[in-house]
Parts: sequence; structure tokens; C-alpha cells
Amino acid sequence: MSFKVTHEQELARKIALEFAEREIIPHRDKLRVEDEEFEEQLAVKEAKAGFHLAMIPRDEGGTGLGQGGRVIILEELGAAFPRMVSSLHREFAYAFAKATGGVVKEKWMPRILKGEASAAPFINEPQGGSDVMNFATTARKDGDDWIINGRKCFISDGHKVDFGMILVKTGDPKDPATRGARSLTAFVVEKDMPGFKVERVEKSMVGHITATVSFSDVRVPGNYIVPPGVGRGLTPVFMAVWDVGRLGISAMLLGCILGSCRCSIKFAKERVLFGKPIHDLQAIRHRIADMYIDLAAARSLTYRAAWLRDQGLSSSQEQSIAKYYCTQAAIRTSLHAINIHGGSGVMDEYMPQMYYRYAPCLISAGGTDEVMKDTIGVAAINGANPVMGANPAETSGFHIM
Amino acid sequence: MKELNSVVCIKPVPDQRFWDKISLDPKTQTLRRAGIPVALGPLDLNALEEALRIKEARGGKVTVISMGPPGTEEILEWAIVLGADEAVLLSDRAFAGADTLATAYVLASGIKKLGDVDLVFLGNESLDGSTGQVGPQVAEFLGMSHLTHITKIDLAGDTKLKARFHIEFGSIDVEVKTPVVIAVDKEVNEPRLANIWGAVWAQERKINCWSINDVEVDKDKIGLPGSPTQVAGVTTIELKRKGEMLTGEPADIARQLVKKLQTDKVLPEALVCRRDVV
Repeated sequence: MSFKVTHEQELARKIALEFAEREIIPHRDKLRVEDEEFEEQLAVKEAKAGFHLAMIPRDEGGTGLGQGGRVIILEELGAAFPRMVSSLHREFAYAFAKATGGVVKEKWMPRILKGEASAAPFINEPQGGSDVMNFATTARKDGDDWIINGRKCFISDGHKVDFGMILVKTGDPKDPATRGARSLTAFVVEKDMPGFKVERVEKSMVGHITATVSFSDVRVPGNYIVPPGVGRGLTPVFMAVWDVGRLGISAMLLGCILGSCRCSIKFAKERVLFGKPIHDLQAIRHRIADMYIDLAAARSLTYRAAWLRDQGLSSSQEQSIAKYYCTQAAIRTSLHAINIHGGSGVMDEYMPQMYYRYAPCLISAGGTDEVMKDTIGVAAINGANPVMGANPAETSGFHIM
Repeated sequence: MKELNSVVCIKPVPDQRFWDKISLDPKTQTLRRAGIPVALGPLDLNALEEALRIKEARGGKVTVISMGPPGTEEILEWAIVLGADEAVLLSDRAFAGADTLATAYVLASGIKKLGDVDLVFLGNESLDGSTGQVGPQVAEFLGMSHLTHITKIDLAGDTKLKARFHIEFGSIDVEVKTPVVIAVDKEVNEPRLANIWGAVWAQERKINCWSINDVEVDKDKIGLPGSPTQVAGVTTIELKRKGEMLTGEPADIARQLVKKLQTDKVLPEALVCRRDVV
């Protein structure tokens, strides 16, 4: 078993922690009241710190810290204040540009490296994100170009990202020539393309903004199709959603767990009851133990899923397991934090309520708990190497049969 | 414009976040620091920042140097994360127990070995010892000019710089020729935050470990035997609030107060109270 956090990745944690201690924690009051100007400034500072460069290899201009370094950074930034960390959208930009290659990569990479470009997946439609066969957004060929029409909703920061990867119908799923998933194609669309419109923006209960965007005869060049190509759109979308989205969301949930642990331990040392700090009470210690166990388990699952990707191996099942576990653990630990803090835990100026409100907001991001469990269940029942899906057995520590 | 090579002297100090865990060993009269993480002192960060700014403006190289036991690499590595080009750790059992003079002597020996140095930066004083002596002592050993309590630095030509130093009732602007040793105050700049590239630099840039055999030193001037300062004792000061109400006419209260301060040896006993004042 060789899975371990490297010294480079531990330094990345220290760098992110120092950033959080200076740029986030003293300014939590501004984030709490959703001060947009401050959030913009913070996003610029995060770009300047280069956090988005972790998953970009050295030979492409990044730091090459890998998925492992990236999840550790997102964990620390998320622990300082639970929010949609800006580097996630910059990482999407890289993932989409790399997946598309050619002119798209050439055009966007300089801005991506500087942290000046952001992107989001344009997948969800009003009837849902996982029901891809019933998507209503279409693209039809017109010469060398394609014309896109339709609507996508719940696009994270969709009102301000520079571009996105959109999954659309280019064929009829019932037609034998374009059966099932062969009817779907992924394109890169840019916000400046005529016909692209932000229809409306909505806020979640913690102020995270998602947008509904529409496409009215949006003309997209043929070389904006994401490889492998027409009728093969699910693969690149899944890769991006898993590697950037699911792992990133797991890391931010990990931040909720870590933040809940930190504030609870601090509070348990400071709060005096019956003449003693409350950590002297077994009931409190056991709650903290439960939180710590969840932190250790969630870290192990998330880091390992990231490590597998850094070894060039698939970790789709591990990512689903991590995302499901982190969601549940974040809700559990933040509720423990509220219990430990007593009345203070639900007060606006204390952190537990923030973590507790934020964790459920990530349930649907990257796939709901049900989608995660279904994916895991299908692989466990049908896979030759059950929990690992397509991975060679020797790379996995998970054998259940 | 001439490139300027800087050396920054840094010192590991107990991480401020863990100060509540530091205690005094009554037997050995030393601090119990086992298990307490070390960090770069706050003024060391200012010193490093100034060197990095000068490098960005003029080119050259920034080298950090420290004398300490194994483990000091951690703070040298952090200096590299922040942007230093290379690091030197002077570490040897023979250096242990050094006071400021012996420390400055070894640091100066290391700086001499580095060779082409235009500027030597330090924090004006360390977070733990707070003597403020090492900067001027290093300068003496190197035969360089020195400036202390520096709050502002501007480059002025190839071999000159303008600096402002803080005095009790204001500040003084001076012009100085390089090479020079500069001890900075916190007002000199705002230290930068590390960039994520620092994690990469830390893997690529080198920390050189030099022992007594690597530097030219007189063995009588190093470590505990070479230290003229001996610590006679260390005591913990207990800070307790004690409220006490004085009553009476204002002049009577003042007299009571003076007497109490004399009893507590805050005021000299021979103080003559002028009746017309109190």
C-alpha cells in the first residue's frame, strides 16, 4: 500500500492555511453577509495565490501538485469559510480546454494560467441533471458549424463564467444510428457567443448563486466539439464532472468537516461549565471523537480517490463513495458542532450554523446521494472487480468478494 | 543597474499559536519547548520581504541563513516557499548554547563564506530573545555599516540606498553605501503571502547544511564557551489583576497611592512629596 500525502502537498496545505488565516478568517463577517465586492476581491487573491494551478501539470504551465494537492487546498479554504471556492471554476476552465484541445485550448490557456478564466458545466435542465436521455437542448449541423438551442439551469456561477461545456442532443436516442448515449455531444460554448443569455439567477440558502442560461441559435464552430466527437459527449462530461466537480465538492465538504472539528475543539476548551471546560465532559469528548472519526474517514476516501487519479488510474467509484460519505459526514459533524456550541451554535456570528447550512447545499452538486449510491450499487453488483469498476484489481484496496 | 545579492538572517521561534503550551522548567531554568512547532519570527518575515522586493526590482539572489539545531530546516524551507533562492543552515553541536555575540560570530562566518553580498537583512529583534543585538554584532564581524529600526528603504543608485529609521520622537532619513547590514521594524513592509508555486520551489531549491568544518571560526568564540553572557536565572511573572479602592479627599488619595507605589517599589522611597502638588 503506497498511498500517501507528499511533502509538497503538505506544503500546499500550509500555504492555503496561511492564506485562509490572513485573507478569509478575519473577514468572515463580510462573507457571512454576502458582500459581493469582497468576494470578488477574494477571488482575485485566490487566483494570485495560484491555487487553481494545482491540477495543471508542470509541462502545461501548472504546479503539478495534482488532484491530491488540489483537494487539500480546497479543504483548507473551505474550512476557513464554507463557500464555492473560486478556483473550482478555474479548474473547470482548464479541464474543458484540455479536453477540447485545438483552438479552444490555445485561446483559453494563457488566461487560465493567469487565473483570469472561469467555466462551469452546462448540464442540468429543468427536468434534472442525471436524466440525460431526455435533455431538450439540441445542436444541429449547419455547414462547419453547429446551432445550439435550449436552456440549462442550476449552473454554478453561470452568470459570470467565461465559458462552459454543454451537453446537448445531436441525434435521436431511439434512432439505431444514434442510439442512447450516442445521441449526446459535448461542446464548448462561450458567454460572448450571440444567442447566449443569462435568463435568471437564483441564490441558495447560503448565498451561492446559480443561473439559468438559454441558447437561442447559438452558432458554435465545429472545432468546439469536445472529443471524442459527435455522439460521444458523455465521456468528457463525466470525466470533468467527476475529476473536477465530484472531487472538488468532496474536498469542500471535507472543509466543512474540518472546520466543524476545529471550531468545536476550540470552543470545548474555552467554554466552562460547572467550573470545568466542557471537554472534561465525556458526552462532549465522545461527540468530538465521532467528528474526528468522520474527518479521518472522509479524508482517507477523498485523498485516495485523488491519489488514484494522480497515478493515472480511474477512480470514478471512489469519487462517488467519497462524495456520498463527505456529504453525510459534513451534515453529521456540523450538527455535532451545533450541539457542542449550544445556543451559540445557531447564532449568526458562530461558524457551526454556516457549516450546517452549507453542507446540504452540496448534496445535488455533482450528483445527489441517490445518484452516488446507485452508481456505487451498480458497480458493486455488476463489476468484475466490484468496488473498483474498471480498475485493475491490484490497484485497489477494496475487495468485497 | 547592478544586481544586489541579499542575505537574510532568520531565527526559529516558537509558533505563536502554541505559546499557551510553553512552560518553564524550574530545574534547568530553560523553556520547555519540546513538541512546540517553530515558525519564522514576524520581523524575519519583514526582513525577507524587503530582500525579495529588492531582488524583484534589481535582480540578484536572496539567500536565507540560520544557526540552529536540526529541525531549523523547516523555517528555511518556508523562506524558500516565500521566494528565497537558497538557504544555509549552520548547525553543529559546537554552536549550541550561544549567546547573541557567539551567534552573530557564526552567522557572520557563514555570510563571509557566501562571498558576494551587498545587503544583509535581519529583523530588528527576535520574538523570543528580543535583545536587538545580533544585527549590529553581525555588522561588526563583517566590517559593514549597520542600520537598526529601519521603517523604509529606497534604492538610490548602484551602491547606495536611502533608509529611514525610527527614533523615540520621530524618524531620521539617511543615505548609506552598500554593503550594509539592515535590521528592520515591522513598519518597513507588509510581508507577502506564499504563492502555491512555493510548494514547488521547496522541492527544487537547496538547503545547505554547514557544520563547524565548513566555516572559518575560532573555536573559542562559538557556542556556550564562547558566550560572555550567562543566564543567571529565569522567572515566570504572574500577571494578576488586583482591584483596590482608595477613599478620601483627592489629596489624601494621592498620598495613599504614592505610599503604596513606594511599598511595591514602583517609586523610590526617597521620593519627596511636594505638599503644594499633592
